[in-house]
Amino acid sequence: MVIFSVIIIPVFVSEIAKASTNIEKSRVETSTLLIKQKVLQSVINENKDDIDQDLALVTALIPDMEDFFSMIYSLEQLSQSSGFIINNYTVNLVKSDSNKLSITVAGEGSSESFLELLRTYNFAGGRLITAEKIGIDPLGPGGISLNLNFYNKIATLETNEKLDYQGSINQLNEIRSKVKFSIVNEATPQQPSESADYPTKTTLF
Amino acid sequence: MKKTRINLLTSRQDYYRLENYFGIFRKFLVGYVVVFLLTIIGLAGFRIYQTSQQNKLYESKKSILSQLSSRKTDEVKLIKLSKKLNSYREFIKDDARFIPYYELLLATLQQSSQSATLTEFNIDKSREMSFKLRFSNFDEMVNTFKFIESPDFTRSFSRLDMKDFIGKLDSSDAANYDLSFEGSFKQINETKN
Repeated sequence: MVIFSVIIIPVFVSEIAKASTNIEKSRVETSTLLIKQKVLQSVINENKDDIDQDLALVTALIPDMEDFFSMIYSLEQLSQSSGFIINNYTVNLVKSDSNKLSITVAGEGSSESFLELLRTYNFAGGRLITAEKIGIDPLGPGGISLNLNFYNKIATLETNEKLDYQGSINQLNEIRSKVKFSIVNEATPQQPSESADYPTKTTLF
Repeated sequence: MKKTRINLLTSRQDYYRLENYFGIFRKFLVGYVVVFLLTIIGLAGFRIYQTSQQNKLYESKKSILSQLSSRKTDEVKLIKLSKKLNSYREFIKDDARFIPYYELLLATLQQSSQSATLTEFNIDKSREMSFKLRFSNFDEMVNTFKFIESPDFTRSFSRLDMKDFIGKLDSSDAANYDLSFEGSFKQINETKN
């Protein structure tokens, strides 16, 4: 009896511990799937017609492969929406890599148009653009130049990357509002009221 | 008289002692069996409960997966969207975020002086920055300098050093005073705290 109990109780306990681990694992998986399902459902319910448009929007911002035409078009759009005339650009191969293309943009325009460019360059051209370093020196010699980065990255369906669906949707709403703001600006570029309200002009220039 | 027990032990004392031991052993054995059975019943009950939990989770998982599989196309789009947005979060870190920091600097400077002119401002993606102020009035410059040293101004910076001070006369013999600073901004969210 004692030998029987010494064997059977540890076997039971080990089985229970193993099952607990499996249950916890299943619970996490189910919870992840549930979040995914809820987000998917909310995305579909809220944006049934927009989901393709949203995907097109982020793909336009960060295309799967570098596309020089969209890059030039984006600079043109940026120039039109800000009023800052971009008249020259040079590709910096040293600062570029497979997902990033760095270019130096030179141009001319009023201080207001340059500030408008700095205010909107991230999205206004329809491509995601960043500038790692920006300086303004209105008393300095010559025109104005900026180093801008354009990005590309293919979105594979491999699930090794941790995906936060809810966070992504929140981020998407934020981007969507910024891009819509830029689109409104494109339709009515350089509105005098916007320039007059701009708080940086009086002290800087 | 009929004998009901045969006492093989010679000593009556030994008999009672042994009977006592057997009594204790019997009680121990009954107690042990009861505890053992209760433990086994408890463990088995818990294991059955676990199995039902596992089954419930399995059923729930199966149901979610079947619903998800019917929305496979949308899921593919959502995965692509999330991956693109992950890339966005990674890439946007390269940006210097010039305008928010520029406006912060201007707003802070305007608290002390209207006559200071910001003549130069540089910032990089790690929030390292430098700026230059120009004054035409010495007293204004001293007042602004005092303000720059105060916590109201420095709370926006994790580091701020004066780099240069130049006083000079321009072509119309008016004095100009240039103050140059360099340092590092705190992240905008940090300064709000």
